[in-house]
Amino acid sequence: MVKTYRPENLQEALRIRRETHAVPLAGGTDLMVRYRSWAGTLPKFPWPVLFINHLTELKTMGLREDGLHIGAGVTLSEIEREMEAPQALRAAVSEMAAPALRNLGTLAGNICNASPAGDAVCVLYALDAQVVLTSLSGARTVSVMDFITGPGRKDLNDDELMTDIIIPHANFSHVSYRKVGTRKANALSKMSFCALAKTKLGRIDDVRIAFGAVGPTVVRSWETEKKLLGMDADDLKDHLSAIHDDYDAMIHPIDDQRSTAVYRKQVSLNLLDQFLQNLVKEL
Amino acid sequence: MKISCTVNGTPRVFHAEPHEDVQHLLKREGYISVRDSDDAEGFAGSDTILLDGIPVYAKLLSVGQIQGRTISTPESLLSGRKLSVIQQAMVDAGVVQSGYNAPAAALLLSELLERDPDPSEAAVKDALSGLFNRATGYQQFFQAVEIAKERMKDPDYATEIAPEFRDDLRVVGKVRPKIDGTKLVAGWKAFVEDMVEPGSCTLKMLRSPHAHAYITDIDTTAAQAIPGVLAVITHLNCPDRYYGKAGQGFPEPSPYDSRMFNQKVRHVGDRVAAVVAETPEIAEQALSAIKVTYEVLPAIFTVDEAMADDAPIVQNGVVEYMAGAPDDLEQYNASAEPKDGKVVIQFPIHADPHRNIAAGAHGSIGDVDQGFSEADTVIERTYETSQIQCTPLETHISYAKMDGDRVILHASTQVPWHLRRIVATALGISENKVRVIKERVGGGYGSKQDILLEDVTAYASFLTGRPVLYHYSRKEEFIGNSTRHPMKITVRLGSKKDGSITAVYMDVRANTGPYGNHCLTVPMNACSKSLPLILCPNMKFDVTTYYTNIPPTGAYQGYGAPKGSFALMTALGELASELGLDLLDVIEKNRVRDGSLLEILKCLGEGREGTPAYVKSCGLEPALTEGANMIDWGVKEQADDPDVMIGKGVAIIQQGSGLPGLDHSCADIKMLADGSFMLHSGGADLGTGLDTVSVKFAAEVLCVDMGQVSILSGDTDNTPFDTGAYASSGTFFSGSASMFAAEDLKKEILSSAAAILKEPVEDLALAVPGKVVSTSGAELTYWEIAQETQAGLGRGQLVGYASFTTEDSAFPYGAHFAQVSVNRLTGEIHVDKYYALQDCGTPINPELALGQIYGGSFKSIGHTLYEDMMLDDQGVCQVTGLRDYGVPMISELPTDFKAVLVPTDDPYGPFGGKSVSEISCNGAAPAIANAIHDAVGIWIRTWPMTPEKVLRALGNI
Ligand SMILES: Cc1cc2nc3c(=O)[nH]c(=O)nc-3n(C[C@H](O)[C@H](O)[C@H](O)COP(=O)(O)OP(=O)(O)OC[C@H]3O[C@@H](n4cnc5c(N)ncnc54)[C@H](O)[C@@H]3O)c2cc1C
Ligand code: FES
Repeated sequence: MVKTYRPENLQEALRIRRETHAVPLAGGTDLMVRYRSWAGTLPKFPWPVLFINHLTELKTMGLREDGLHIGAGVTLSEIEREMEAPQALRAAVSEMAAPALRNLGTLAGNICNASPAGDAVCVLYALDAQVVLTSLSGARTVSVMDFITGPGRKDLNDDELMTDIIIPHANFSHVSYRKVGTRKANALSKMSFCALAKTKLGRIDDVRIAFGAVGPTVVRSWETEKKLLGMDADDLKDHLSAIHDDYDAMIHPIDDQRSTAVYRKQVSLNLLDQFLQNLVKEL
Repeated sequence: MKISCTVNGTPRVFHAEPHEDVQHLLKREGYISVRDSDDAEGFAGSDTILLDGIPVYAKLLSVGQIQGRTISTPESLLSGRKLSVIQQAMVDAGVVQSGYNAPAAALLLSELLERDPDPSEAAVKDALSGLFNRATGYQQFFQAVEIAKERMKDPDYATEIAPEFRDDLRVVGKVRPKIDGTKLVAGWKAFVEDMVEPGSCTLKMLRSPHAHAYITDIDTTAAQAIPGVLAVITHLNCPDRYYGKAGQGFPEPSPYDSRMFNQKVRHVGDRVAAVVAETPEIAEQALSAIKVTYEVLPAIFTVDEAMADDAPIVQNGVVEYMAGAPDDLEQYNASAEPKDGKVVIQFPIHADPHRNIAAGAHGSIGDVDQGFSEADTVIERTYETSQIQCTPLETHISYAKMDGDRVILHASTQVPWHLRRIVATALGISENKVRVIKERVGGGYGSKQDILLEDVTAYASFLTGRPVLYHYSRKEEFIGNSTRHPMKITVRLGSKKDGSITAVYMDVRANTGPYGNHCLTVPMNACSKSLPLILCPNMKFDVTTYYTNIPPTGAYQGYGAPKGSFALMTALGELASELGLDLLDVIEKNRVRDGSLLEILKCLGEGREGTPAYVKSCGLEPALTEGANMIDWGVKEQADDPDVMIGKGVAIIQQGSGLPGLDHSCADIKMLADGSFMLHSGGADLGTGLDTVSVKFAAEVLCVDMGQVSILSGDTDNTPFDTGAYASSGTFFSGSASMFAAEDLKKEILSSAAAILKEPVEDLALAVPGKVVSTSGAELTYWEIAQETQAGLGRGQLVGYASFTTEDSAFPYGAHFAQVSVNRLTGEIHVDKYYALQDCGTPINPELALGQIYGGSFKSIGHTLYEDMMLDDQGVCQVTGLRDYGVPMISELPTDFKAVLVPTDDPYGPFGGKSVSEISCNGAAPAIANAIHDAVGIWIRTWPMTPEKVLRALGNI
């Protein structure tokens, strides 16, 4: 029989985590589905389970000096309604699943899934988000991209819990988020695209471009983004095809039930071109 | 573990397994409206509850998460027997039809209205975005919310819910709540799963991992030794009988090509062994203890593979004929393989199983060669439709128990009588030993015509003496269910420059999969429900159906028509564009109209001689005119986004109303002691409102309110025979039987009254509200008549009876218009406008008819754009859940979606009514294909029309 733990507070949760390595269950929207039984019988977890979504310490959300802090127990619905949350993140979250699922599911759970098709993750990459991992020995902060090491793989020690997500302050004049799925609600993405830019005096001051579901992890290139910095409309126009080619070389999607590799790649590049062309016009 | 929480206002303490989910807990504690319809995938929303007032999915919630919290289930919405405002509004709007998810929808909307008493359409969409509703689609939810919103302010608020028809009638053609609406939306006991008694056993099926293989060895000893396992049934110990599982009238036009279990498995998911056990857990354990050795055979999945000279043979058994055997049968059977079993053919259907041909049909009128030679332009195009799943909310379910030596089956079926016959045949007992009780059906759409699990469930109970439940998982629904036959249809059209069509040829190659359920009739129907839309003296068709190793196929709403319409109506669009003519003009030039003689039907009987028929009512003219107006036909629209192109398309469609000459319905109606009535109908209401139709007819004829007539239907012990709810027969056949039974009772009432009043019967008439009036001024109430006739010396209880058969046809027609936006960057297609204008004669239940049109149109928008049962190269279905499969949800609704009833008065239909539901599935694919072409100039000739295909056709990938 599977053992389950329902700690009274974060401290106890961390102690149980250290002693038993029980697997955290926040909203459970991923775990309950992944370990469901197909046969009308009960879900089958192969390890002990640690319930954490009732812990009040994990439910806070608010602006601090280093950015917006989102507790690991904050639900997707709460983020959707949070006016301080970046527009792209709210858009991504509001397009995930359906309200009854967003009322349970958490952003931390979405990140810890480490799914290449995770919608919020693509945006979090673009936002330079960081996560706080806490154990009885203390806390460490790592960037989302360092945290997710591969499909389903993450840099989480078996005595740690994710406690916070930090989104550094930033303002963007251009925000584009597109989830391309066959259908809207409840559909896993064929691909997602998040591009953010800030312009200053007719030049690109900040730009981040991330592609989801087109590789083992989200694709983002600092090198290419760096090339874009400082460009004005004419520079950008001259470099459109070079930038296109940069990403062309980086994007390696796969075929699966939801889509084909060629489609994913072509649409990624189409959306990129469109974003950059619009930027040219508006610089 | 012990859990304390509050459910629907009552503090409760539950004992639960620590890993139990909350839906499981609530259901077993008696909150039966909290259901799971998707194997805990978190997609369909049947398990919606409120947790501290917020909607969540109970199935995704672990009991460990509800300690100390407050739960509301749909049961909380009622006060006593009284529905909440939103529940009543849903029933009134006609959106509660099969109703499986109605309680969950009501809970979600009720929470929304509490938060926001004046919600926008977007808010309604968001609230319902995780709720799957296949039967009626979603459009009428907006109306239900509007009604509820107003009634919350003013309880007496009244509005026109739907247009009403026939001023000369009191209830027919009027908006009246569906008679089982309350029970369904309230979440009361209604479905088979609600009838299961404690202590019942579970049946689970071991299914083939191979697409094509012989079972060379099967060892069940270990499984049988597990305590709690009652029986293991395999091909070695099942009854040695071949029987048809298509659920059609006897003798079936489908071959008997399987037993309960076979030594050969013919698709991934085919039956291998059934385990009957005390609990689901033990059954699961036993399944994994069965050892099977297979000799794997090469498999085929497409019509082209099946046609190849050296193709593996799917049904290589001994072929037998019950009638009309060919002379060379013995020689034919020389190559048969005994391990393949038998193919028992009831009468010739052009079958050639040893060449993978399950059935065929060929016919023509006029001279097509001549017709093509007279043409200025000839086009030939090939279209392909994919395998589509019915996806009823309530997955297939059957509950069998013994009453002495009789088998009692609680069934979710469209065909109680065929089911009884087939189960009796399978078990080798006579029909009087079987009772089928059709419960409410949580969605069928054709898949509950086929006998997919009832035979084995009945046998399991018969064998063990125990009550046995078999409830398909959603996954089984994808691999062990009947589906839409994939078809490859080539259409050749010859036409004059002005668009008048000189010849039509249609070549249909259908894929029936492993077994021949509906193998003749579905593909023939692709011709018989499309060719007669065009008036052309020269027509020819060839239909051939092939066996392959894909998951099984069978009946699905629209039957063959959605495929035939897609091919023919898209080809018409291609012809129009080739000729540089407007599609609507080409349709107008060639279409069927009032009074047309449909000569082609003489070649399109279902395995028998057909009869040409006259069109007695046809609403195409007003439908096309009004639809063209609504969509501004001919006006090119421009999108704000430069990457988005807009286009418009149209298709005309038809269906039948039952199968004249084959279908048969009976009903009886009794006057009760107080003058109210009990109607017994053979009809199988599968959620569409057939019981309401029957009650309306009886109430109309007998001049009483609907509340004075109660109905029992689809119970083989207690109601008379009916062929069942398929081929759009409900209103026309079962409804007619109820109407004529009431007419028969009316005669009895009048003659009794004449005797009591001692007046001539000609002077008497029935009058509202339930009395007999004489020209003399004398009156007798039904109460008085009932008292008199049922008293000691009376003439006995008054009973009316009718048995309805006919040779006459009543064809429903429709015109569907679509406007789509196509995004050139992503290939995404969005349906901006969808107008479904349909002629169903007199709309008997206008709001329910609209619901059927919305549901059917939206389903077929799903088939056209999203749904796909992808198989890998081993025949394994890659999608075993609703989410990946791609059923459309409320977010996919056309921005502007309108169903419009175009009334006609059919002389053969009861009160002028014709069928309405199946036809709704026929228009979306061609209307959308034509609209996509209008938008971006490409033709997409295969389902589903995905963004990938769009980009490919545009040359972007
Ligand atoms: C029908 C349906 C639709 C969906 N649609 C989408 C969609 O559109 N887009 C999308 O991206 N996802 C979607 N999902 C996936 C899922 O719901 C989300 O990923 C959700 O955010 C997961 O959050 P949760 O809290 O429920 O995770 P849980 O199931 O509780 O946990 C998920 C994983 O995270 C770990 N975890 C959770 N919290 C912590 C923590 N604090 N510390 C360490 N590890 C932790 C768990 O151990 C587990 O490995 C969908 C799921 C379903 C069932
Ligand atoms: S998990 Fe919601 S219906 Fe199955």
